[in-house]
Amino acid sequence: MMRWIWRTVIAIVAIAVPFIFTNEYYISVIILACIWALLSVSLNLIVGYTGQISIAHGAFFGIGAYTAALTMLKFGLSFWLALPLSGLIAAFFGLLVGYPALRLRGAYFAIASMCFGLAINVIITHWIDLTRGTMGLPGIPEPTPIGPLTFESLMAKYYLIVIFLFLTIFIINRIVDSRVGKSFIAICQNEALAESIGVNLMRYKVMAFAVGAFFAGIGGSLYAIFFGFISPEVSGLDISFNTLVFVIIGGAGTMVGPIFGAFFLTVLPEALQVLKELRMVIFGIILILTIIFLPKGLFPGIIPLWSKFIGRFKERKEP
Amino acid sequence: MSLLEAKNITKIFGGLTAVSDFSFKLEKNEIVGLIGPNGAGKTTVFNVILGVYPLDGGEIVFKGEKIGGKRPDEIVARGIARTFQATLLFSERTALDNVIHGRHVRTKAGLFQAIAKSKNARREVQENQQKADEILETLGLSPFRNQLAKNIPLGFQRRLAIGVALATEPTILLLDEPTVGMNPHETQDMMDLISKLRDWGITILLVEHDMKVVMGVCERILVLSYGKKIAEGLPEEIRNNKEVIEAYLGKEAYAGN
Repeated sequence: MMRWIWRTVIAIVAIAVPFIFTNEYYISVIILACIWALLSVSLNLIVGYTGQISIAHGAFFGIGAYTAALTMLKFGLSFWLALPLSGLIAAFFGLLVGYPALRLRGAYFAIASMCFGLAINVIITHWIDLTRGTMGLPGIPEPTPIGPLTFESLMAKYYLIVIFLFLTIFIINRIVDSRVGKSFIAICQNEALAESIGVNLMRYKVMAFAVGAFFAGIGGSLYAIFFGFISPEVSGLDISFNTLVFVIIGGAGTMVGPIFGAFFLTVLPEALQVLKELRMVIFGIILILTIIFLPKGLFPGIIPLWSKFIGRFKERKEP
Repeated sequence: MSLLEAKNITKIFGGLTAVSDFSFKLEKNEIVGLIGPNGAGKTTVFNVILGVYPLDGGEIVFKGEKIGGKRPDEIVARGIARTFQATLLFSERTALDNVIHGRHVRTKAGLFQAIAKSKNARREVQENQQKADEILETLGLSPFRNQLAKNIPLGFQRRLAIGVALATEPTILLLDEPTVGMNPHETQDMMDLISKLRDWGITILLVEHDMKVVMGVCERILVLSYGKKIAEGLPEEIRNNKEVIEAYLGKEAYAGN
């Protein structure tokens, strides 16, 4: 019951956003936050639920963005075909890299995934015939209209991206709740025990990695049509690290945490812009304080505070 | 035909031969003890049977099928399960979830069934819950059903670890020191449980240091020392075996006896 109330509230808020924030700049920030949220939710499957710290998510995002942009620009593919294709290509790279890299554990895997991320970035930057290098790819077309629905306005793009964010959350949620998700969680909690009850460690780690990569690719192609321009920075380490920060600060291994982290940490620096130079200092202090005082992340840290607050409120009501 | 037959199994780590030319048989519905001084290779034998470490020599035959070289998930699916010396649990999960995790090899729903929440997947979820509750009930763990595993008293954690292994529906259960660190009362409970497991049709290979437990529940005992089998027999035979006493206490201990 409570669940459905929350869902309705969130749906209403999501629909109302473009009417509340009519300023283009605000909407753009919110759209960007939605894309980062999509990316964080998918990385959370790898980092939060399966326990494998990956610094390759930016690379999958970039692969998705370039797949979408190139297939649309060079082959005139419709966005509606380019979108799933970008996810599939990213997932394919996920399998290709996951098999060897996931044989490594802990920090070694993190380093291997980072190297892959760097390699992809270098390839995209220097394969100038294909990607135009640092000049980037301008003029990425709008999604082709579906009947009377066009996607030229910012508002239409907002709804398109929000729908994909919700779809991603829905699918990842289903996976987490299933037998497959339980295998991920088992691996995250205790690999030796997971192996002893017959979980094929390699199979499920690679599966989590590839599914995460798939959605990162989808996120990349949404980013491409939102800006209409991409450059090699979309595959950069910045994106990998930022997403990891969203997940960990928000609350790895929870459904809401990474979404919360992505929105909070995207909107916060924008909101702090009035402080000019102090902006990043304050941002940094907030991150450090979170890590020290709420090591499980903002969202799991807030729940006990919240229930304490509710508890006090109730006490006052019933003397 | 024996339920499980290990023929000359050998495991080498670098220059160290952890298990060498070790052969034994497990008959259906037996409780067999595997003892030996620290570092004798007992836990390695478990890891080799389960396929965690690949064999360096020899063969293991289970229900007439060669299982040497198979992956752990394939071996668990065929009906061999184990527990760990240091009670391993999914400590941040509830007791119920721990047992449900153990149902992994007995369920099938894959990625796409999960996303579609297919009929089959939903049926499995229900079945798992039911089976897990049955296991908790029989092990007397129902009161802890919704508690996090890390918050359950140690003696019950040990039972829960056995519950997780039982959820895989094993024919053979490998128990690694199930009574270590327990008081006499808890130890007696564990011995009763082990006998009960056998009554349910499970064959048990028990690694244990507590001789009272080994002599109390085992029908047959295997003794390992430095990776080699030095004796095999009934509890009374092992108790008076010269080599076994030497291995445990040194040569002079026996001479002085």
